[in-house]
Amino acid sequence: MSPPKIWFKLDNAATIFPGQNTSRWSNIFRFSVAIDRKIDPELLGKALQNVIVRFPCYDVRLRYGLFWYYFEKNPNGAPPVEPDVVNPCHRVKFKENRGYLFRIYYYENRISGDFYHALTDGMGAAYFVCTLAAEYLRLCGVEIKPFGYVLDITVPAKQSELDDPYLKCGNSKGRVSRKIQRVYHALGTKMPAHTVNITRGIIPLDGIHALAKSYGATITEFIGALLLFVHYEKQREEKRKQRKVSVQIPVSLRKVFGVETLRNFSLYYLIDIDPLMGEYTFEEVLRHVMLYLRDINNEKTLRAMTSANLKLTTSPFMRAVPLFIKDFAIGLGFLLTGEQATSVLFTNLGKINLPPEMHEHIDFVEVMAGPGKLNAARCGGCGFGNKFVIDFANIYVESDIERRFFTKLVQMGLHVKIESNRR
Amino acid sequence: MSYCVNCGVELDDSVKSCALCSTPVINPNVSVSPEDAVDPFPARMVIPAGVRRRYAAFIASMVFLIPNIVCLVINLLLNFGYLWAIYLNATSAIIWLLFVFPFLLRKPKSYIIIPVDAIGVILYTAVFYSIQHGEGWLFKLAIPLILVVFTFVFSVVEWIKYKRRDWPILVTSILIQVSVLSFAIELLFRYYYSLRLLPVVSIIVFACCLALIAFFISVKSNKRLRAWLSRKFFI
Repeated sequence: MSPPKIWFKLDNAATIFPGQNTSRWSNIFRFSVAIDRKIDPELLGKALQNVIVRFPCYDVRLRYGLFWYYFEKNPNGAPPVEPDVVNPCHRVKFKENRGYLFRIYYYENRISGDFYHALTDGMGAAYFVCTLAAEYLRLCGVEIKPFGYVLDITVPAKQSELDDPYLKCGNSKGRVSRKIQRVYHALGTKMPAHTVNITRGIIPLDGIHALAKSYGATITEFIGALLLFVHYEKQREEKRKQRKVSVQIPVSLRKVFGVETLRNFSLYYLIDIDPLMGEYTFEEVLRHVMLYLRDINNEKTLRAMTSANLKLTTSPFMRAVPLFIKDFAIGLGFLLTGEQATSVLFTNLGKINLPPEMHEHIDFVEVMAGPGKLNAARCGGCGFGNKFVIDFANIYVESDIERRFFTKLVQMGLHVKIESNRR
Repeated sequence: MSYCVNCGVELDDSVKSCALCSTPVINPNVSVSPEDAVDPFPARMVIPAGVRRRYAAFIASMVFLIPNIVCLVINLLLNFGYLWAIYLNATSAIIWLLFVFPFLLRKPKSYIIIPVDAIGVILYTAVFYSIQHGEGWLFKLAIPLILVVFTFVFSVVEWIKYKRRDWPILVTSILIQVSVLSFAIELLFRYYYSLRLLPVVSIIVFACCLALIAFFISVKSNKRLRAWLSRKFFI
């Protein structure tokens, strides 16, 4: 008799992602670690097999139930390790890639993981790829102890890492309203399907930190405000109907609620400015972003937002609706409202904490938000050592948003190195 | 190490122009030529397989085919005195042709789909014509009407596809074609009913179109009016 199949439910945030999936677009993002040596694919494959057992919540395939999708232990061992591609974050199909919902790539000295958002968020992906890079270096003969984003692969995963924390934390009776209103979206010449323009900007971490601090802001507030300002200026120059400009900033809830899950546990803030109110200077935009974030970023509001998001999975009516109807409704809802309320996205994973033995072997780490549907440029940032890497994923041929953003940083006195997949 | 003279950012050794502004990189002092430097991004591109559109269209075709065959067989085996299954078969065939056939093509092209659809609609009409023993309306009215309408559709589609145009120009051209279409339709009806070949209704359509065309041309040329319209009528 075969052993019972191991399965578990998708977390609350993940339930909407399969419904949004199309043949051209998936909600997918990338986390990469560049080390000090060229990657040997065979060794990387071994490292992946050693690491994946520590992450049972990623060692899964997505299956259809009558009412919900669910994850089932993937019997195929591990996903293949492939040479990297110039068009990362292309769409996911649930039966491709041996059924795995993440892809592992290598290029020169870089290990990258493209993760489907139903599996985890940026933090979870960072834990996985950093642990993979550490295991790779171990196989190369470097001794590395588990610390920070490198987990101990000799012990099994803790139950707290596999739980869906939304259910525990979404117990607020307070409700927050979320109005969806159409905001400004930059226009341009669309890239062909499945392709994206990537621009990587490498900035000194101490420089950007000092610059943000000189305004009394954090790096997230500073970059979020700069992106907002760049889009505000672009819209003004286009001389079209002036709509609100908004930036979406995802926030990990792990620290706030003291949770150590490897699955999704994040929400997002939506901060907008209205050009019809008058002209803004960068300082005004930054002050607005700072005040908004500091006001809303508290445990009570986040708990209320989490509770509001639980409606889909807890409402008895929604639970009884068959999956194909849910999929259709989620897909339609996303089409009509998905990115309508967002002009640009900025996700910041902050400084990645790695074991001291690894420091000399790491060149940089980066997070790349996947291409959007309406957002011209989606932006991800994270730092290690003294390098803060900002990645733009742009669905348009034009690079004016990236240019405005990085030249502003140069004008503010920062040294910026640019790398891109534009040929 | 090169810097863009336009943006002020440092550029990778492998690039020949700035990724942000396309300014060419000319630096005689670099030790590594762009060809020898390692590109920070790979050249390999993977375009995932598209939707199995043709497979889905094939399944839909089978779904259409099976009940049609069943009905035809039942109709032939149990003699009802007349061939009622032909209505179902013809209607299914025209629905298949209009909505499923385009997805079976590897590269759907308007110059294939629209003429094929026109022929399909003519044949569909001919089926009913032959069943009801019509008196000449097929050749005198129906076929010319179908050809005129499909020519109109074809010209509009090709006009839109040809070049991206400003919206007032697009609307103006469609209005011109609508007035021409109304003339053609009226003349066909008058010819069929042996009336004098004089445009009456189409003149009214033409006058309305002319007024709208004048309005849209003025919108095109008058920036202030256009700004006022977008201010007043934005959604």
